[in-house]
Amino acid sequence: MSRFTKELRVIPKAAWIVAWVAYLCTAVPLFFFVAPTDPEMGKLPLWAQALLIYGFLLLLVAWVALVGYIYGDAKRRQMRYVLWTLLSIFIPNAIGMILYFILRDPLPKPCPGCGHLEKARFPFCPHCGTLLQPTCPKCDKPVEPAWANCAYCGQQLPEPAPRATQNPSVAM
Amino acid sequence: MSEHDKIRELLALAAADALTGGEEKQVAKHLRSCIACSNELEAWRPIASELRRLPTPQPSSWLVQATLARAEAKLTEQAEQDWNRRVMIFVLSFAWLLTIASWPAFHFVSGRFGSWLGPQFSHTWISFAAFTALGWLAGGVAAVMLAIRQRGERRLA
Repeated sequence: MSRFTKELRVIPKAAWIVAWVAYLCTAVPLFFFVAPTDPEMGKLPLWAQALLIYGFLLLLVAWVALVGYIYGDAKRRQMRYVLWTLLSIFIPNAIGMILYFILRDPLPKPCPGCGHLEKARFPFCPHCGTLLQPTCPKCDKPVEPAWANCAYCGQQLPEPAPRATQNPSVAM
Repeated sequence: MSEHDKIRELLALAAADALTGGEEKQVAKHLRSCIACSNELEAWRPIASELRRLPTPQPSSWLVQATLARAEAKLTEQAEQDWNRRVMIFVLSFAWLLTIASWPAFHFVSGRFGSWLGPQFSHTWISFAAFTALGWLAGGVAAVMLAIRQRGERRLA
């Protein structure tokens, strides 16, 4: 399964239903009742009217699907999914969506101790206390395994990774 | 750097059989005409064979596991970054498409219902510009607020 197909599954079914219902409820009345009476659109041939209305309103489907994706994605990333869904709906021109994709958190990782999904930036599992990533022995802030010195306090880090050496299976 | 110097640098690797096909041919060709390099290669050969006999230190299973896990994490991170880049391109294109497409929609709606709202609404392009400016302003305000909030959260972490 490709990444794209996997990500499509993040969109809740309800969002797809809303998207297609909104599409049909807008496109059909526009095509049958509004377009023939409109002075500008009425001049166009029937196929052009159909193409314009049904094609143009596919943007609506894409927009609702994207809102649904943001809802599902923010939920699985343990972010404030209601807030982000509302922002993506109410900030026009998809600016809320752009903000979401810039500011979203990384995907949570499973804790090797208890299996709970935890935020990637957490150094310890809040459920069982397992060390999720190495921390600086001086300031206790999370450090990258490749670092030789702590980026926050400058402390020289032991090799191969601080604390992780105590329980290697946990550091995985 | 002369051809001779270049080949001299490859001699140790040649003794260890660590040259590529092209390099091997290049060295063999040079050795046919250079006695000094041939002698140097002969001097390297016993060293290389002795080195081969030395026991190869085996990394601990934990180190292998840790390295594999780190490599896997790095690959996952890179794949995530590539995916995020593609998503950003899509969302930005979508945002532009939506902005451009909202103009005919705005024109259509204001043409039909604008007269109900008042004569000033007939200036469709002004309303559209105001709508777009409001959108960007709202986005800017939201971006600043969220950035401040995120900075606060990071400081607490």
